[in-house]
Amino acid sequence: MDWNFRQDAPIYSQIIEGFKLSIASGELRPGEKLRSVRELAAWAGVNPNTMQRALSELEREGLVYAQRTSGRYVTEEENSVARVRRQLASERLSEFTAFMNRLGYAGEDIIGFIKEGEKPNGNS
Amino acid sequence: MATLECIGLTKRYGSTEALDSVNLTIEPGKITGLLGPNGSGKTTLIKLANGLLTPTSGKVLICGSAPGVETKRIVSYLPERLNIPTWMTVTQLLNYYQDFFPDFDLERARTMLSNLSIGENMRIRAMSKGTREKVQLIMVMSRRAKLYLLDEPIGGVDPATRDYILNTIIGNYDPEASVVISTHLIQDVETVLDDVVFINQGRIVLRSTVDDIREKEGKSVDALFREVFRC
Amino acid sequence: MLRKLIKHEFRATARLLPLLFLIVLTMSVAVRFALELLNKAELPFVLQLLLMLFMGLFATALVAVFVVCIVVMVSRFKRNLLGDEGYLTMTLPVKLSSIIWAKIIVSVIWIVLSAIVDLIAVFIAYFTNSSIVASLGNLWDYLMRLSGGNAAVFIEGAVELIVVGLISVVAICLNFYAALSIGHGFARGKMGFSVLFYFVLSTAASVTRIIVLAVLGESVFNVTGVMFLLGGIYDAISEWRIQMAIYGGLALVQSAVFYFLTWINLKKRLNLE
Repeated sequence: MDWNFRQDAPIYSQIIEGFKLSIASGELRPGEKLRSVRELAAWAGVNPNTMQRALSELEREGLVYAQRTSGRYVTEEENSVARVRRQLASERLSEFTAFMNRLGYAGEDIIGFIKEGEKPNGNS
Repeated sequence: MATLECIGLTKRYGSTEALDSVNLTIEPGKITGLLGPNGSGKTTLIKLANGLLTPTSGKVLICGSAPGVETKRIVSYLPERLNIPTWMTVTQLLNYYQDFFPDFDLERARTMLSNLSIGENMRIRAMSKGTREKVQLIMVMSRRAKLYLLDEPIGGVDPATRDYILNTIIGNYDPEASVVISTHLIQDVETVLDDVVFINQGRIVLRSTVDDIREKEGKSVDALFREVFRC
Repeated sequence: MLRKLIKHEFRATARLLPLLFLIVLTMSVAVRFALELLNKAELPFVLQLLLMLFMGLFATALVAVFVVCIVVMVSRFKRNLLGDEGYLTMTLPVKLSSIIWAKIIVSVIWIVLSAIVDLIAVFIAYFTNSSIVASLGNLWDYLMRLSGGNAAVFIEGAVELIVVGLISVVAICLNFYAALSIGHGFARGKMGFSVLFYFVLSTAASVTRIIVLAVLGESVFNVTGVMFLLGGIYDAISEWRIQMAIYGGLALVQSAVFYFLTWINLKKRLNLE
């Protein structure tokens, strides 16, 4: 994960997004043990309280689970992983379509671009 | 109980008012940014809490007591200036801290020093400015204090040193302790703060959490600071 | 805590003086040989002159030991409390009074050690074995004559001399400390004000001393006179001891005032940059 925090949203929510992406993409494997809050905080360059808040939120959403003594692990439930994967994809998709609509491309055009692998712009 | 509490705290130097009836409470377990432009009263507030100055009126309390021997035992202070005796070797400095501060964790200090490959026979005087600053920070953060008062810890350092300093702070403070970081370089510290206090001309102008500012204002603390203190 | 403060105070001040002590003692041995050389052989004029110059240098070194003592004391106080190091010293969890006392004690020890080293150096340089014994004997005879053959009076007097001497040294140290503490409370011209206040304080002390002695001078004579009339021993030592007690008392009052000035200025008017 690369931590370049945006200016306009709380840091904890950006950490949550980062973790979700890692879990959805498989970068963090199901059942993988997470480092301690303090280590993660130092690694992300944030306050341990902020990291704690993000992890609690992830726990609440069922993406990580805590074991009383040994720490936190990435969820092993495939449903949860699949759900977050879909959630992220749909978020990106609506952002993308909104953007293309603004440029004046309709649904058909967009599908066309995707099918042909054509890139209106050089960047990914 | 609040780790740090200011009640109507006022400090005048002659006719200039450095602090004007400041009321402030810092709770345990939080990292608070004391943010304001130069000369806004940040250093005065921190010096008062350390007992280096006496208030003109009002009170400053640390865990319920006025500054004195008892509070100095639980406050770890990083002043703006280099304060470690330059004639000492690292060993002598460690011995000095160990003799006077019961909460000094010698092993932790040694580990941090060796991580930076700072030899214990080295004299402080022989070190570069950057290394001296790191040694001083290591001493301050190796104490298991209740309150850390860090005055401009990242003023005038390069980005790598800044990262080292911030990581040392968040990696070493006790979860039950409070940290107060005074600075005017907000962007650099924003991600490590829980709470912020904006101070200007000796008065507190804003008190909030970083998350609240970002959530409600939709902008970073740094952006808000620039707005509040626009000339 | 006082013990630890004293330990670190010694560590901080012990870098220059021991070396100087060693130099003075080495010089004293050299002076002794030089003197023997001068007595025994007819030396060329140039060599005589050089040896005389060397002895002059020795005398200077004897004085220099005290000067260095004072310089070390002043610079230590200034750096450790009133400069950047003050941020650390003044936030140590120890009482301000302990910090000041540690400095007084260590300064007094250095000054006393300097006096002892100088004394030893002079003995090494100028006294032969027989002359030491002879002069100590003479001194003893002289003191016995003064005290009318009463050894106890003489020993009490010696103890009193040492105590009064120590109090006076404390007063001298505190005169510097008080002046520095007052001077450094000012925003500008810290050192200038310190020097000014050194002279203000020492002048005030001498004026007080002169006045008190003038007032008491008369009664001192009366006291000794009364003692004589009552059948006590009227002797030089008794009179001297009474005068010394007055000096000691004055030095004690002076120390107390200077101590208070030091303490209150560090406590209330501390002005670190």
